[in-house]
Amino acid sequence: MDVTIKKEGTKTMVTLQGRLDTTNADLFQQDIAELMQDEHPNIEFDCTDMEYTSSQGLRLFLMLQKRVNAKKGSLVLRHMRPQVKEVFDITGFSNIFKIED
Amino acid sequence: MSLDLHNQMILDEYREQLPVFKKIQEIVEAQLRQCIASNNLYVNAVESRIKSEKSLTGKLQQKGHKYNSVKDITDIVGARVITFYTDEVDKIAALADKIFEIDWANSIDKRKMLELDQFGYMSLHYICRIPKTLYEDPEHPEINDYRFELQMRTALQHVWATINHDTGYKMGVEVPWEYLRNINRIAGMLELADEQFSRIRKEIIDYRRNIQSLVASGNFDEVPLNGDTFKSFLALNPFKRLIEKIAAINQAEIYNDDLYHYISIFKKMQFKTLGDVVRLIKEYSDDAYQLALHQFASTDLDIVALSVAPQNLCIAHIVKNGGGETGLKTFFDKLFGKNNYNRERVHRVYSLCQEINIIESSSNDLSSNLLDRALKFAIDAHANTERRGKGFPYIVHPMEAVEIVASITPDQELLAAAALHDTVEDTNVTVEQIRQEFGDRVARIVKAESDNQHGVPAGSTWKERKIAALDVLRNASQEVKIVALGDKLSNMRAIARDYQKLGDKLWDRFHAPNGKADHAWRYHELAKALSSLKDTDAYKEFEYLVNKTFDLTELRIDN
Repeated sequence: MDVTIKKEGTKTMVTLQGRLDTTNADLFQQDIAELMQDEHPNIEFDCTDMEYTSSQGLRLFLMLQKRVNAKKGSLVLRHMRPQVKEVFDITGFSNIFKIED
Repeated sequence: MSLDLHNQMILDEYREQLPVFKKIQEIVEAQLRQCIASNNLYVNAVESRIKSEKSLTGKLQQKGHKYNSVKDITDIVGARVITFYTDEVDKIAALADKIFEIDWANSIDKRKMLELDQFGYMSLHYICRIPKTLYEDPEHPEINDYRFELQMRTALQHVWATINHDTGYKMGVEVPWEYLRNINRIAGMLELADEQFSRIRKEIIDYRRNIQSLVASGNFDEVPLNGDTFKSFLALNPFKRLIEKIAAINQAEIYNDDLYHYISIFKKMQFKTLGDVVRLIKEYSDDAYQLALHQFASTDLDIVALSVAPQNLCIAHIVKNGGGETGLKTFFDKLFGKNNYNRERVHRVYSLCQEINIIESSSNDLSSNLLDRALKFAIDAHANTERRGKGFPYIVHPMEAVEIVASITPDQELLAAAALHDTVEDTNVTVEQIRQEFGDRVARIVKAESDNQHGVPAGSTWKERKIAALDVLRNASQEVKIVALGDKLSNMRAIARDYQKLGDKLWDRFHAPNGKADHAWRYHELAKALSSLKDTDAYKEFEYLVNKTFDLTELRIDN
């Protein structure tokens, strides 16, 4: 999956493209490593082109969310596709993340 | 104004030793913060300051002759801890005694110093040193020699001191009598407030302890649903069995997210006690599991959040109680906040529920011919009884109730309860028999419909009995209300029909002493008590008939 990270002022915009599954989960983890280092995380994910996520992807998002909570920052997942949204819904992860249009 | 030689010497000493004073301040504040945190105390503030040159100069001018060196001045370094409650001041004092060396000779509990007519409302001051065991620097032994002042007070005492200080009155003598009187009154009020805060806090702690034991006892029906009780309840991990079963579908890992926000959802679902939540889990777990099974089986998702358990339970509950897509939308709006995803979520979930017949099936093994058996049972029970003054068999009324309930929900257990709702009240049938034949849920609803005593004393008037019954109905669960609506609408249809034919002579047939006005009052109150069903067609018909038959002007003012 392609991950593009852009800093806009205090916000970090991350654009995701493609599928997030077990084959590329490690790469995703590396990609977001710099987000994990952020002391004042204010992150927005653009999921328009995110086609799919597996549980491994969910775990990585969860790791990021915990980090953001610890630093009292914010994390928003935007423009999710219905199928991906469904994954978050049925696993109960919609309760954990801020998911917006 | 310049200082005399003696005072100037002290001032010079002060300037020279400033780095030492700064070091002491740093150590003291850090120690206080750490000690407070590690003892899990929550205080308003921890502050410290070094006396400014200006302030020191002023002090020396007034009483410089009392001091031989800067060492003798004990408040060059000052630290302050502001707590919320008076008992915490004592706790901080005890901690200070442990970590610092207290100069007891010079420490005063200024709180005890007050005369009855003295104003103030003061704090606890300790004069302390940093012991060598805490910090030592062989090059600067003064760090353990110079004293500092530790002030401990409550937030209210602090407000008092600050306001007081602002007035510029430091000594008692210069204060005008009027001011003195008023300021004493405020001091008294603030002192009382401090006492009240402590008392309230103690009461909350006792309350929470009681709640914990009440929850532990398992008498969930007696425990009201509120923040404290829900928290204690969650600590028992009530969703464990369900989430483990769901997780087993794909050998998933369970992530234990926080469920506290479900309290507002349960309240919105009209749950009043923990017993209602326990029943939700007991009666809808199978459906919640079925839902999860169909959602997960075709995926390889191997992680689930704990919140799937209450989430699916609520979905099953809403759908089986006739909430439909509207109910689901309200639920998702509350759970996730209003957003554009919710509409699509509702469609998806509701279609799935229909597909797997959650709406049809009940979690009871007796499901398949439950309604048939209930109808046969009711026919037998009401055999040879007639509907009041009508000349047709009584069974027609419960059957009409079943038809009405069916327009709201296809839940077989509610339909069965509608069929059986008058069997206990009007025939020899007992609730226990119903329980054995049709299960706990049907029995519970029929019992609620039959309780025509409601704890009112014998010899009560018609009105008193009806008021008690209305109270019970108002606070009843949604499923009881649905069956009650079936019953009451059937009655109302009959009343409306007869009123068309007979007019006001109709009221001679009934028990109520004041005829039409009493019935008008009762039916209007019934409509209000059942208003949580206002989105159903049945309710709308009920309201329409009530308003048509009982003009609002019929209601007497002394109701």
